[in-house]
Amino acid sequence: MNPTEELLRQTLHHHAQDAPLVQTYQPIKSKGRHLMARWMVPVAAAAVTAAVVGGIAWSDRQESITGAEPTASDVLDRVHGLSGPVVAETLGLEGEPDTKADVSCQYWVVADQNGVRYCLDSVSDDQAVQMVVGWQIGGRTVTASSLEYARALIALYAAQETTQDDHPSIRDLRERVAELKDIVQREARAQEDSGTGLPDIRGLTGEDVGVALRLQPMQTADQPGCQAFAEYQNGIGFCYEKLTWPDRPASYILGKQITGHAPTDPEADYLAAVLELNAMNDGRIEYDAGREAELTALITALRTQLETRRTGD
Amino acid sequence: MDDFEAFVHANAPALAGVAYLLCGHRQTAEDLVQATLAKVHRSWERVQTADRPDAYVQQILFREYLSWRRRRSTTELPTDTHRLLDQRPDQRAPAADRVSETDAMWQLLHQLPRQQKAALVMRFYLDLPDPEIATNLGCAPATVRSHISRGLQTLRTLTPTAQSEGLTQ
Repeated sequence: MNPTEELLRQTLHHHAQDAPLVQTYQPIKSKGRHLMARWMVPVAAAAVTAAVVGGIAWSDRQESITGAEPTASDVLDRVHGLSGPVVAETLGLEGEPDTKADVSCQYWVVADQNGVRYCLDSVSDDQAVQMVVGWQIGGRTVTASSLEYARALIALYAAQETTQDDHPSIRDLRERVAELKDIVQREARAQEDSGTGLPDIRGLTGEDVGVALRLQPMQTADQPGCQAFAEYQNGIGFCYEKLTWPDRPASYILGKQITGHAPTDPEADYLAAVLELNAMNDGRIEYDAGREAELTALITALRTQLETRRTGD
Repeated sequence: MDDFEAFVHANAPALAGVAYLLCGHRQTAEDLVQATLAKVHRSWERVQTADRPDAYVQQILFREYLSWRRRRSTTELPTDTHRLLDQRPDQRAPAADRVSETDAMWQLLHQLPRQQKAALVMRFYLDLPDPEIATNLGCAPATVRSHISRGLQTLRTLTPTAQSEGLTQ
């Protein structure tokens, strides 16, 4: 053994003696989220067991305790098509302001412009799943290939830690990542372009309306410039101007629905027609001149009907 | 005390030792042991039926460590390579300010890429054979040899001992 190896061996055995004492961990619940907190004194292994059993649970994910780890597709199926905050709620994640460093979380995701962040450690042990859920929370369109893309990215990062950047294996991985990125982007465009792309919001009220329309929750105080904003709970609501503006009756109906009041059938028909027409004019769905004419006629007829009803009231 | 508790009682100190060598930081080492034990608990049936449960858990610990990419900032010691380089034998500060060779080695060890560091810990602390190191790292034995060779080369280049070796060779 040469001197460097001998010194290394000595160093390792010397510093191993400085290793931490085996401490126990006690599950605590903070803001609705279960965490494993380091307890203050070394104690017996029995408490470690209790902590491990308690600590690995998050919210109502009891399957983790029983050992049935959710698969990647289990997790992704649960969040498919949901908007950021609803993804978080579905997975039992508690948001918090992105204001301070917190090393207790390995993978944070900042969800929206309000700076609300979520810790994704509890979502899965699979980093690729964490990454894809993070994309979903961040509002990106997640597709069938997203998980594969995430895995390729992680493989590339891992390889870059040990291998020279110009090594052929890194180039191959980079090509694979680019190829998958293209696929994901094509799938996302196709997904967004398919059908009318408009969700059915009949029967929904409150937050569900905004979620279905893929609107991001915002603080009321942060939206001084928004032309159409409605709260679904104190201080939090959706800015939906791009969906209804400049149609005032449609803005009124949608706002009413978000604040928790179910519209009448004519109101719901009117709103649906305006949403579809606006989406067509904005290029969010495919333009169809015939459909445009139908919608325009329908909107005119329904507006007359609504005005007559209001006058009658 | 059930089987799992007994296992933790018997093996946690050794796991904590290895975790500390990998992380170089007590708190992070504790976190690593905790994460490892959480995984072990979830897979306990599989772990306890393994040929060598302790080796299996050790593998979980190494894999867990290697997957902590997002925690890099908290798992690596802040060191100043230039300061250490300036303390080569021929450039050392007065004796009272010297960084001991083992301290320098310890700090430089934590400058190495994770795979290299993990391979060195397995070879020179746990005395594991290359095939077992390869299993723990999830790579081929030839890659293990490469990690160890590169790691030692870096340490040899930067430590005061290496300088001495260079002078004597």
